[in-house]
Amino acid sequence: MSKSFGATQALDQVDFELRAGEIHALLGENGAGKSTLIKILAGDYGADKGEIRYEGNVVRFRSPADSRNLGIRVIYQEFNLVPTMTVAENICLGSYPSGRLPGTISPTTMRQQAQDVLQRLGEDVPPNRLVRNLSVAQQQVVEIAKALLREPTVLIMDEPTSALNDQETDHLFKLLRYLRDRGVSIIYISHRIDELFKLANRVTVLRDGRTVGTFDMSATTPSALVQLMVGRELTEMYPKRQIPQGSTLLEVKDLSAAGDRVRHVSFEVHRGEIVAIFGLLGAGQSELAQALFGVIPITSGTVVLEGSPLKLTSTSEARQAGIGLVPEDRKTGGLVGQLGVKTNLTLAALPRYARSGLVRMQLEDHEATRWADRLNVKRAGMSQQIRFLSGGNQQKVIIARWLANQSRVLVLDQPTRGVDVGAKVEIYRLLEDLCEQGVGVVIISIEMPEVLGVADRVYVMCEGRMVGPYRRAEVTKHHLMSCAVGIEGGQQA
Amino acid sequence: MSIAESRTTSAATAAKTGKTFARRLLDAGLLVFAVAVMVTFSLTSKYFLTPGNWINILLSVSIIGIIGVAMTLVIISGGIDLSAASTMALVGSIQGVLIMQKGKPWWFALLVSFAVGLLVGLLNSVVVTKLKIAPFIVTLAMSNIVRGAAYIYTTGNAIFVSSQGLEWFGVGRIAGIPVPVILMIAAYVGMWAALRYTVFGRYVYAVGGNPVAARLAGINTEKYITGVFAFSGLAAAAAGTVLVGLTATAMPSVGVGYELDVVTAVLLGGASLRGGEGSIWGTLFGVMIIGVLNNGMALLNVPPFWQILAKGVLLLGAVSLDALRKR
Repeated sequence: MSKSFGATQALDQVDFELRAGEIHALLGENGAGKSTLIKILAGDYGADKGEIRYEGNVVRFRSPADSRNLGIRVIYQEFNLVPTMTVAENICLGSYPSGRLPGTISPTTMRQQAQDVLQRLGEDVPPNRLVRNLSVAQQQVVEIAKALLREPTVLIMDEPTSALNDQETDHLFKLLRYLRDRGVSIIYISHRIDELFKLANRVTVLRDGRTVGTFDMSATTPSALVQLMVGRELTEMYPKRQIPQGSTLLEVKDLSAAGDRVRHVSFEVHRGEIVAIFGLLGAGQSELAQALFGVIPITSGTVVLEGSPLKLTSTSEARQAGIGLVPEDRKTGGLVGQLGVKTNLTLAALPRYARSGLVRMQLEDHEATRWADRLNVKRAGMSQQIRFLSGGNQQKVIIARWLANQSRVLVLDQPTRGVDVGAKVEIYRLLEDLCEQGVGVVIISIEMPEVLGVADRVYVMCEGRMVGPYRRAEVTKHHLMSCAVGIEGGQQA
Repeated sequence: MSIAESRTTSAATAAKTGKTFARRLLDAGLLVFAVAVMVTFSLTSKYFLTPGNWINILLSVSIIGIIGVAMTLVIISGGIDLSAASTMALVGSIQGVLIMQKGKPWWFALLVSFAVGLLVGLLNSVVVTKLKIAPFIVTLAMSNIVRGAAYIYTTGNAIFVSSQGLEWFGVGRIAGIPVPVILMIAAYVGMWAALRYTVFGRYVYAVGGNPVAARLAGINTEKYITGVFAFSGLAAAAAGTVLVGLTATAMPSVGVGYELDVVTAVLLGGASLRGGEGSIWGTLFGVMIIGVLNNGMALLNVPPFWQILAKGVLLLGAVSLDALRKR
């Protein structure tokens, strides 16, 4: 099966086979073609070449409805729920049971149907609750229930666990195994290789739009899969170098912001150093990043950069002071989707390429191309709309935006979220490069391996307070987690 | 099939046909429409294709053309300015009263009226940026405030304006070309360069395309929104001056509904109400379509009530086009 978009060949002769009643993992870097494959199976796109067989018969999907009628259901990473409607209304959306009068619906039958499905799943989400009041995990249950109402034969799940905690993930797995045992075939997409071994029967690895191979999970290992995904030797996931630390660059003292979200936080960053701020989601670390970049006001405390105190009442002050922020949510906070790679890349540095307000276009083109090349941004051209790039490449453009502005301190909030393994390693390497040039890097991360892999020193945040620093060599996973959940926070390095 | 399902289906079908192709088709459709309009008019009216009539058309679109320059900028920035036409009327009224009733020199009236235009724009921007209210509703309210002020200031009367200074902006000619036409063309060239070559223009696209991302890139988004609305107020003042010059009259009731003609033109020209997209030459094209349509309908003696209806259809069409482009 092949599919191309414009000049980009998204899928090239991909073979994929799904058995009845199996959980089949689909693995690949961002941009490897997973999403395209799913969209073809869902009937959103047509394949340019190749065929789809369902129970031996060749089928043609002219629209998503054709795919649905065969019982193929997709649950996307972004849910398709109506937040202002109840659980039952969402589950039955599209096939409301009719009431006695024509054109009316029967709320009791609807509630009953929803209740039945939820019971089959062993879930106790109240059918009358509004979806916007549910947790992410509960919303996912509603999505699954919605799919189950139509008796699916194939369920496709795109990164279902990216927003779930461990307990919720375990629960989801139980649910998926239950469905599998009832004959539903499941295509499961995830970046988390570890969890595939707990769940899947087989795995198919895609790379650059081609099938690399299909394996039984029992016959492969995580590191083997990683290697297949990236197609090259991953000498080390975290390419830590020995970089001599310089003088103090950024000094944050007793900083409070956003009510009690950030409470009397103090830390410092040296030249050529990567500092990680670890913490569970919502521990105040994103607010801290925003305060450092002038997005939200600082209520008390000081920020000193290379000896001079900063006011930081606006983002443009932060930019001019030499601070850069790679925000948590790339799509809403980082990209201007309909603008090109070049325009997105030079967004922060544009005044540097201008003389009295006039942009020197040649200089801008030259610099943008240089940075894009240096960061190895895969693109169809410098004016390609950035929304068409893969997550990893988008992230590289956002980082390049701050490099072009010659930032002295770079704050990265969840820098590798939704970024594939290959691009991850590239980003880590890049951060090491920056350190060699004397930049101070602050990484805000909820991923323990990342924190321990890249940071020189680690601070931990819990409920707005900060403990640390801990030197990387001297701290254990266990200790960091204890600090993050507020059990510990005593001795400092 | 349910509503939800049919919606995803049609969206997916549109996606399958390919965005660029669909877009090209729409743009080509616009051109075909423009050509069809012109052919119809030239076949049905012998005056339509004469050079004199073309100068007439250009002259007649100079008012909405000038406002259109600013409206393009506002719409690219993600906003809209529905107060532009009323501001134009207020500016004219001030000039009329100051010159004819208070005996002030024309340049003084010009200065004061432009300051008022600027003030209206700044007021819009303050409410939009500080209170975070949608520009649509802010400028809709401002439109009535300004229109009311114009009526109050002139006590509702039209004023005959005889001022050689102001007259030049309406009926003056340079090398045989009417001054309003020259002003309009200059405004388009200037805005084209500003959008393409200045930091200001480039950041307006970014602010309109994704205000959050623009802010997180260290851009002072409020500053750019303020600049955009301030410019819109000034452009409305320029249009008001040209109008007084052309008609030798200051009328508080002038230009009701012009802002919708302008928005129609900008959207026909390919800008999106979601912001971040639009081109100044597209707007000129849209302005010309509207000018040709107005002119043709007048030549063909289409009753005025029907003209209003036709323009409503055109605005709806332009908005639909915007929606279709986004598919």
